[in-house]
Amino acid sequence: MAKKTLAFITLLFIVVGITGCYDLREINDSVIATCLGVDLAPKNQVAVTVQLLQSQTSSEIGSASNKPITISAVDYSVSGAGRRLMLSLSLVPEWAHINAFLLSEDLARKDLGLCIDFMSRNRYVRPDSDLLICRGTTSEKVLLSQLPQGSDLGTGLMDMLQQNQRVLGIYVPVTLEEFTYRLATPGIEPVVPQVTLAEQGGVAEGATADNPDKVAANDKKMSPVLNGMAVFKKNRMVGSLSEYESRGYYWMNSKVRKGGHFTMRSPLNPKEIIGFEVLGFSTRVKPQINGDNIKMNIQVQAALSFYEQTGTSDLLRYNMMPKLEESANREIERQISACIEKSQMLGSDINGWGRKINMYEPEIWQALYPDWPSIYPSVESDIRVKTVITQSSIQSKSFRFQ
Amino acid sequence: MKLTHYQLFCLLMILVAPVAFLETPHTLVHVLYANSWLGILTAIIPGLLLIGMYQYIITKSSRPFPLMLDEHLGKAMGRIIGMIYIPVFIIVCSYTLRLFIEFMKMIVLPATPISIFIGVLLLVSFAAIKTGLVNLARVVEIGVPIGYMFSVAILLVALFCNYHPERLLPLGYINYWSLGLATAINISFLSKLMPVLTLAYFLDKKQQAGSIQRWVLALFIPLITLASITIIITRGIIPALTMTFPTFATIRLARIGAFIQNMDIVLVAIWILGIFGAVTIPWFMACYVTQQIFALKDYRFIAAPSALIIGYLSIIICRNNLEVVIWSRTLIPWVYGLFFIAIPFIIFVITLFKPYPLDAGSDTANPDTEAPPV
Repeated sequence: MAKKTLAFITLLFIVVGITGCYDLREINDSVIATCLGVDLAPKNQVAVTVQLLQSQTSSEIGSASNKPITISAVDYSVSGAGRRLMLSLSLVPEWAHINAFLLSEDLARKDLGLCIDFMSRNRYVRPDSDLLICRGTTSEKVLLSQLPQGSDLGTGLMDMLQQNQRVLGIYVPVTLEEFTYRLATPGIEPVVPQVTLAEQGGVAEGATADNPDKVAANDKKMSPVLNGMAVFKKNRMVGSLSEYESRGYYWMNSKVRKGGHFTMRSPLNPKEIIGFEVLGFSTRVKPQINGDNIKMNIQVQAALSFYEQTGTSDLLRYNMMPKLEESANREIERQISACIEKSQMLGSDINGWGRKINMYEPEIWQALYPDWPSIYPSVESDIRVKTVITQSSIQSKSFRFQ
Repeated sequence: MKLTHYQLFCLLMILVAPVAFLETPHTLVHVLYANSWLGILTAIIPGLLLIGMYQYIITKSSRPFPLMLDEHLGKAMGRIIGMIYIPVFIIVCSYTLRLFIEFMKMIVLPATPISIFIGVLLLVSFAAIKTGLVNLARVVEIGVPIGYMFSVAILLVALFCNYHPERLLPLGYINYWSLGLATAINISFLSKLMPVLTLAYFLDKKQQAGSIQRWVLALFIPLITLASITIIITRGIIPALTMTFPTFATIRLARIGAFIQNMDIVLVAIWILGIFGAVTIPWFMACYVTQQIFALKDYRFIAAPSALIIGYLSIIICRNNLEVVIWSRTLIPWVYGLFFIAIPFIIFVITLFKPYPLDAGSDTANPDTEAPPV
């Protein structure tokens, strides 16, 4: 009997221990953090803004709804500011649910050292969270804005990046894992989608990577819009890719190899615009090294669908197909060239050519590696694009007015 | 009471796999970088030789470890070396416990005092030793298949969630010294199989321990190779070099769609069971060797005093997680190499010149070879 009592007491002790009572956190005492932003604050401090979702029940039998709350705190470190949020918060944020991580442009341009350790070391920051740079604005302003569909910003921005990739094919989402990998690995630099603020429901008309403020002038009902990609070199942002240049980056670096849409001028009538849907594509980038001469061979193969034309030119004829495909080839080549030229101008190897040389020619890379930043801007590229138009949607001929 | 073949397989698997799952890929990535997984594959043949060596010693010995030391080295030398193994098993046990504590404090329950972790795990292991090895075997025969399958599954999910196969390149760009070192490190972790020199005698036929060990190797190598490949593909070499537990950091990437996330905590729960086995078996060995060396009546009562030593040692063995990493990468492979490979190798060489014992083909029913009650 004594043994059984002892065993029971022992088991009771184990049960208490196993529950992890010291780290116990009741769901009623928690609040879901969905999006976190870091801004530069005065006196070399950082401001952390977080969007929290608090579950609310509208009535006793009503359905639950999530009300976003946005709060900020300032301190000399990111984690310090994050902890200072507790000065105005009675619930403990569940950081592991953060889907999007925002950095303001001024912080990114100053020094990533202010936040990179937090991003890679902190156990609550999930490496698969999407990273965005707030171009021409602060992450606090972005977090105070609202998506047209009204969902929380963390989930909304993550979905926006995914949908843009599948439907539009411009911006390649970058996770914290990918960002820290590129910052730490020789021969490859990070490039991150940017978000700006635009009037809700409106189009980000006139927004360019160089002049984002055009769309952020009006503070009323602002909503975040994807707009260009931030280019990094070592510990800071050095410039941006425009939408057009981002398309070139997409062709070379997207992990999703299908989806997207682009337009170009008709080969028959330059006033007409043709739209193509990208059904699928593959890209191969391989270095070719002859002595001191380094050339990157870029081969893109794409299957396209003739999606739209803004006119009635008789484009969908058998003998026109090679011309259309050739025009599409040239257009994609231009997009890729624009991206390469911009990255070489900024001196940032965002396409990972150094890493490619390391992959295929590791011994040569050992010699090139110390001087790579000065070599990269002058590396030549040979872009070869081959497209095939395999579909023309539900019509096989162009529209003709009577 | 005897162990079944499957129970011995599970005991050996839980002895080597959980700690190696967390540690080996991390250690190898420092040596071979993108080709660290090759260092695991090249360990297959040395691993088979190691298993062959253990099995040969078992076949050529009429009594289990540590009594086989008396048999082959003489009573005086056998007892001295046997005594050395008592602190060795205690250190292995304490180190495994400390690794578990660091992992739990860093990743899972940072606010929980380490005395809770130590107390709970030692209490469970103590209960397992007091009630006998077979009870432990019955637990692990459920835990091993679940843990193994789930580990493989979550690694595959993490792999395809962040699939960058180009990070494995440049393939084969390694020097032979690094490859040899990586193979040696991997073999040193595999040499934790050494308690088979005792456990094999709990089988009906100790000769069959060889095939069981080969099965352990056959499942151990793919698991660790997969873990290593997944780390490189999903996290990249340079970031992995800075991580304390890159295997776990990799598993944090696992998600199914956008709705099943944070799956790592399930692996933690299973991994705790693995660590329970990895702590209990060396502890059992420390108790068993003490009993045999000092000709004590039973090994069970040694569990209580040794629990204090193990618990205290696990606290003072390292001041912080940086020292745990240093232990993992430098000291522990040497401890395993010396005591689980070099000394058994000396015994192996001695047994080469000895005839087979009279009962070599029979089971352990001979009173001289009878295993103590489990």
